[in-house]
Formats: sequence, structure tokens, C-alpha cells
Amino acid sequence: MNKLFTTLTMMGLLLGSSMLLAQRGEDDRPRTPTPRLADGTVDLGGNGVWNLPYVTNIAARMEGFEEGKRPPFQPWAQAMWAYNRSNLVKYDPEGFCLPPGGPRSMGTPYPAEIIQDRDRILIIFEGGGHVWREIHMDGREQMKLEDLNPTYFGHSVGHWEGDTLVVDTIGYNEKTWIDYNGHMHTEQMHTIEYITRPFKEVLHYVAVIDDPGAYTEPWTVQWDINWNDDQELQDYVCQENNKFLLDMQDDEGNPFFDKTSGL
Amino acid sequence: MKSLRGMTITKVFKQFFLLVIAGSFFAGYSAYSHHSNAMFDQQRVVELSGTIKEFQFTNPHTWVQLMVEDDTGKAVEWSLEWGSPNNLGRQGIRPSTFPPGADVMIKTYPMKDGSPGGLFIGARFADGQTIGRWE
Repeated sequence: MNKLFTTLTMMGLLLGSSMLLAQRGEDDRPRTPTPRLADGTVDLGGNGVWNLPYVTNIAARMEGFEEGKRPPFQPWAQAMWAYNRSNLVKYDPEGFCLPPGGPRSMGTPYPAEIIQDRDRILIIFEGGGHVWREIHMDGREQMKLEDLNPTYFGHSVGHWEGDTLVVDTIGYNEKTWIDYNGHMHTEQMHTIEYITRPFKEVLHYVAVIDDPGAYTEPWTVQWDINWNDDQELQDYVCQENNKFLLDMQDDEGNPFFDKTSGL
Repeated sequence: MKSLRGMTITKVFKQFFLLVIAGSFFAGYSAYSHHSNAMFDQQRVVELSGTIKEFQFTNPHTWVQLMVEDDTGKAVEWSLEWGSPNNLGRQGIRPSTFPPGADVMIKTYPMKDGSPGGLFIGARFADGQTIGRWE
């Protein structure tokens, strides 16, 4: 029995330490060589999932960030950010179970998978409304903004520059925020994402956000996304029982939606 | 089974395991109530004793519905918000974790407005089994 207890304790300690390891800094992570497809292209997938971090304040992911630093706001965007803060971001579209769109999709719970097909790459997200985005890899040119209907994820074309996947996206609608913190954008937003997998366990994500409608100059954010061999995507359909909306009130204190009997 | 300070060995392991998952769970959870935790008073822990009415294992968050007798003996339904079903599922939580009719004690960060609800912290069943954070 003592042996059993020792074994169970060891199992517990191993489990605990592996979880602690997952929370440690970059230097402690294992570094397995970057996986590659048969033709040598970096393999962004595998039998597991990417544990997207929860990036609540995207400004904190700008290079050289210091407390209080803000993106290069235009005055209206700064005023809206302050307003969003003042009401505890209650109008954040993601709280309504709408898709995150743009760089926010890579910093929203829960995990994601990246599927590489011959002429396109799909990123499927467990969270953010259980959605996906598609990146055209067939060499097509980016479209003209005026030819696109604005959408949550916009129109993405990608290509490889060495081992870096470069994704150019325009055609975003204005129904998303860039983060939980209340940073907004316009339909003029243009993002360029640089995605690398320096080693198997980590995806390095960089996004240049260029929105002349809301910001005075382009700004760059980046974060790491950790690989998890032991997980699969789960079902998550945010819209099901979102009590937050039923209890929500507008600025005048009236119910935002009429209460219904629900499902 | 041999006991250690009154607890079976299985239970000791189970408690350690739950402590580990609870720790990892709450690290991420506190930031992602749908859509804000502002309505909960996280400076105050309320301990409730009651009977499970329903465990709503739903998206985007689960809810433990607990019937609690108030000071006048009237049964009041408390709504306790917990994690998302996908994440709780990864941690071994099932719809059957809180069977209707079960007597249970629950710790919660209560609603600031005094309404019968809160953010779920942990639970302890009559047989001593605990779920979530219970120290």
C-alpha cells in the first residue's frame, strides 16, 4: 500500500511539475526541431493544438511596452477606448459571442489548429464563437478594398518568405475590437502577420496593424503561442446560454435585449 | 483502504489532483468570465450550504444552481457561475459532477448587488469529496 501511495504521489508531483513547467519562462521550454512537410515547408500543425494565450490588452504586446503606453491613437479612437474602459467593456463584441477577427483571433481563448492544404491554410478556433479563418496560398494577388464586402476575418492571402508565413489581410468589418481592452478599428484596417515556428513547441506571432482610420501610424504586436501535444479541439459554442447578455443594460439602464424564455 | 488522517489514500490523491487542476484553472479563469467579473465581490467569500437543483453544463459558462434556505427558512435559488464546459471537460468535470438533489457546501465570490449569485470557487460534498478550490 505504501508503494501505491508513493506511486500516486509521484504521479501527482509529475503532473504538478509538468503544469508548472507550462507556466515557466521561455528558456525552460523544450526545443524540438521545427517539423517540416515532405517538401521542406514548415509544418504549422501536427497531432495537437496551439494553446492561444489570452491577450486582453494588445497594447501590452507592443515592442518596448511600458505601463500606460498606448497605440498611436487618433483622437476619436482614444476617446472610444476611454469610453469602453469606463463601462467595463460591456459592448465588446466578443462578449456577444461574435467572432474576434484579425489579430485578436490569435489571442482569444481557447486552443486552435492550423491545417495546411495545398493551396490554402485554415486556422480553426475552438473559442471565439467556434470559427475559422482561411488564408489563400495559391499565389493570388490581394484584392482591392473596394471590391470586398467587409467581413469579420477579411480577405487573407499568404506566402512563404523562407520559413516565415506572411499573411496580408484587408476587408475587415467594424464589428470587432482589436482586443478585450477596448481598442477599436475601422474598415480601413490592413494587417500583415508574420508567423514562424522556431521550434516545435512554439509559434511566434507578429502582426502589423495599419489602420489610417483609427491610428496615426502602423503599430506592431507580437506574442508566442505554445504547442500542446496532449489536447484536441473541443466543442465550444458561446451563443448557447450567454446570461451576460440577458442581464446587460444600456447606458440609460434599460435592458439591452428583451428577456426571452431562451432554449 | 488504509487511511491517512482519516482520509483514504485515493482521496488524498484526488485532493492533490484537484488542487493542481484548480490552480491551473483559476489562473486562467478569473480573467474570462463572460464577459467581466466586475459584478462579483472578490474580496469576500460566502459559504453556502444547500441542495443542487441543476448543473447547467452550458456554453459559454457553466452554472451551478443551488437551493439554499434563507434566514426565514425559505428556499432561495443561487446561480453560481463556473468555467466553460470545454475547459472543465478537459479537467475531468462532467455534467454528473453535481447531481440534482446532492447536499453540498459551496464557496463563492458573491454578487456585489446582493442578488443570490456568485462566482464559483469550490464545493465540498457530504462525504468529504471536494471540487475546485477548497482549503
